[in-house]
Amino acid sequence: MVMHPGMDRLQAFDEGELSAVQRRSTAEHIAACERCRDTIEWIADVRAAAREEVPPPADRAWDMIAARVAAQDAVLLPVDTAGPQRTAPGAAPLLRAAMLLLLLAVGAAAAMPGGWLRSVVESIVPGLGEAEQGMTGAGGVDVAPPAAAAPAVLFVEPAGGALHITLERPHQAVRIHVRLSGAQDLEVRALEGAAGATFRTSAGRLDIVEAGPGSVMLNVPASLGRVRIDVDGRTFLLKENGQLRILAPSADTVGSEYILPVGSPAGLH
Amino acid sequence: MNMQNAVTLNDNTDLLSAARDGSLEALGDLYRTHSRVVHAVAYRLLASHADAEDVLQDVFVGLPRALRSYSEQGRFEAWLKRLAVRTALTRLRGQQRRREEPLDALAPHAHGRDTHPVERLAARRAIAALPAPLRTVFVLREVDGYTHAEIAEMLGITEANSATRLSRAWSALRREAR
Repeated sequence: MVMHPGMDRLQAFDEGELSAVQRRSTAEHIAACERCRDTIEWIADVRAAAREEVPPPADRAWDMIAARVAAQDAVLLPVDTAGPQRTAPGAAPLLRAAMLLLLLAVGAAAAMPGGWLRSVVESIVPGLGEAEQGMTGAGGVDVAPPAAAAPAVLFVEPAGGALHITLERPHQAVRIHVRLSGAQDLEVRALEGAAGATFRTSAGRLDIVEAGPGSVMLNVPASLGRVRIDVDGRTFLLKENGQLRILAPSADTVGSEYILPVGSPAGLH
Repeated sequence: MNMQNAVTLNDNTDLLSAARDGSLEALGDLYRTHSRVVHAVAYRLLASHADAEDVLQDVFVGLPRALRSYSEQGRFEAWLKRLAVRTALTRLRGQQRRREEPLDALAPHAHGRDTHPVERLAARRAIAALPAPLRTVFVLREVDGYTHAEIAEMLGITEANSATRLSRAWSALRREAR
């Protein structure tokens, strides 16, 4: 019976990623096997198709960008430095290997879903459950939970010692987190669905339009004399004459952070 | 002549600094140099020219502010490309409006080998038709060359899940080809 190399091996062969020994044995097989030659050609064709040059953007694109910049349109971009860290680089492989040995050592009973030891291991090895869940899905349907959106960051300069922030038509599940900071500019971070909102800025002003469900984190310069946060025309926070007043229908505090839910607590799920 | 006051836009550091300070001329120079890369990254992830152009616009409109977070360590284009990937992924996640027919892949591409045009066309259609979670990983790995660790970080998934999605993408393409 002829043993054919797997797809992974053929893909690695096509990319030149095999060791010299593996490459030689795979090449010998391919030379004698029409089926694997066809597969290799197909892999190369798919990769070439995927990597084909994309037509350039339309000529009008730059004109539209320049017009938006001139209109002081602002876009909150998910910058690299704010990316979520799910695993500790370098340490994760060793830690996972150690945990795998631990699981094998204590037997299959402890590895059963819902078992206490598994819960402990999952709490130590982030993503273990998710990884296995992703591998056990059937029929090509990805059963992994939705990916967390990368946070997006924006800075807004105050004008005349004042800032006015508005949220227009936010989702009811938006939560506004406010902290006072020692920075000069307002720092805005939008998480999850809130990162898909439209952000517009002008001197001393930020408008956040149609934020999706998620969090808007506002690091407000403590030195500012006047700060106002409005949600659909209703004032949620007001700072003036050195006094900070929370006027939102419901609010909570965690340490030095104020949390202002847009919707009523009963409406949150 | 005071040479110190002259902004030499050919110098990348000065160019980035000028763009960060709001110079439209500097932003235009960056656009001319890098717009094709940003557009191509977005198009391959979103499989739609309209969505790709929206991402292109958003990236360059937001670039002056985003540059405040650029540490100037490493290549600017690699940083910009990751910014484009993240922006496209944010759009993909929040996409609730109409889906453009993903058969933009039918459009003629500028270059490429002519050895198997029919198979190439079918492959482009099949890639564009992959479910978004599979297409995303396939493109990031096979076209953009990111590692599974990098993909996992960008998508908020595990490396194992990234590898699984890639394997499923290849399997789906193989089924489609038969």
